[in-house]
Amino acid sequence: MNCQEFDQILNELAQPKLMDAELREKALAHSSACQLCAVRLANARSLTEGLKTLAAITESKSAPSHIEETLLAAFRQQTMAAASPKPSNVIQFQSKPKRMPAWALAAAAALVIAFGVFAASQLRKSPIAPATKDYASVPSPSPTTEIKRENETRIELATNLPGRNNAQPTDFGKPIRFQVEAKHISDGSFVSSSLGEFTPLLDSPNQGQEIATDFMPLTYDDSSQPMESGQVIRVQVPRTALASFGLPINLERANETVKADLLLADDGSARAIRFIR
Amino acid sequence: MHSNVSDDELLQMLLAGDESAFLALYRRKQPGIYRFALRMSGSESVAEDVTQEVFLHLMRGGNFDGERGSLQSYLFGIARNQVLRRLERDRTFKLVSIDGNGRDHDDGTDLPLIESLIVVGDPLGDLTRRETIESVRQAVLALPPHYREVVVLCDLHEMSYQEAAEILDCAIGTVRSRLHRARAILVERLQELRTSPAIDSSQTETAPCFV
Repeated sequence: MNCQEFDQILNELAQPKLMDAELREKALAHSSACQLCAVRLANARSLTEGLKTLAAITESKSAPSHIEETLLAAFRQQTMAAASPKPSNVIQFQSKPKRMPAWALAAAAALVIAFGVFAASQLRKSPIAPATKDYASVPSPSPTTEIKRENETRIELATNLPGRNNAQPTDFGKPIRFQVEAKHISDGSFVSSSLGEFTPLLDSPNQGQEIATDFMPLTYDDSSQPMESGQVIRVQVPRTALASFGLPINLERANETVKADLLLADDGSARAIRFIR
Repeated sequence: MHSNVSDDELLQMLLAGDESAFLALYRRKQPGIYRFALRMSGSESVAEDVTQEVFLHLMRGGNFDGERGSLQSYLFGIARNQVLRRLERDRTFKLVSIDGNGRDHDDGTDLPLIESLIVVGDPLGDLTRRETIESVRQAVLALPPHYREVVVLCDLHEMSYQEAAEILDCAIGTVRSRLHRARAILVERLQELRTSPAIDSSQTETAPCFV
């Protein structure tokens, strides 16, 4: 055996592992005859010992208990979200086979509800009641839903409310109507939105001719994963939110709300927003 | 309760929402994952984060394919990617000292790493041993990640070349040659450290990530 051959089996020789007995004998014979290889073998064995000791130091280490608690809580939350039936007011449109996780849907629903509650409270406080606007009342607790196709790229789902066509002006404190609408956007995926019954939604006289800003990013974190798919959810936000994005606001109408589309990633995080007029 | 149940069966039960299966699988696998991340990063906080990420990924379904390898290899593979991502992000990663303080300095909850190695009655021997271990630890953490990971898997976790190759998604020959080179670097580095006057772990940085 020469030094080069010895070098090739040095690691195996330095470790207490099974190896060819004949090869081992040859290597040991070479190291006893070659001082350089003997030193290399001694160094390799010393390294093996050091690594074994280092391994022994951390051998008893394991993740602290709070990691298990955190994960268990996340697991329970996920299981509960998966087990709970989807609310009837949320319609999921997916053009891709990949489905949005249930927990992300729950997060999105919570977001919509939060915005809705906030918007409702803002309107209750408002001294100016736009009584001339058309509000539909909700006489039935379980309205049926119908799908009305307007054109190839827009689908509107609206609750079929008795008296909708003869809607009467409604007081602000009362539940208003519920609207779910979905739009087909250019990339082939659907845009869905929902508004709770607590969310007063003004019927715009020129509905269908919405003017929207560009989507403005809500996160500037470089670590954000690029979106493969997502959802756009229609919400109402305080008009003052416009100022946060450098958009002008009419201070006299600051306590009103404005429609916005939130772009949600599959993980439920809000990525961008656009305001609708 | 689940001691006789295979990893794959536990995973199926977990994905079906069985909490006890999740706990059993977590308790079975987390020590190895945690130690791998700890040995790769030298940081307990990173190891905790990585462990959490690995099991979050698993409970959300993951993309485990039993035909491509074992669940163990799959989990180590995720942990490896997470650690490398961390190393890439924190190129100036500071090493923690193990001189009686095995945890990151900032949170103060110390966990002595080398207490178990201290032999009462031979202070000089203890000191030499401590220094040796610290030298080895620093040398391992200073290795480029593609060398470090083979040392961690094959030498510290005592995995076979086959298992390491599965985790690293490379050929067995690649593992063997990388380990050979890594050990040669370690020997050189340890000789340098032995001849250098003092070890200051705060001055040491982990090598930048290769990915």
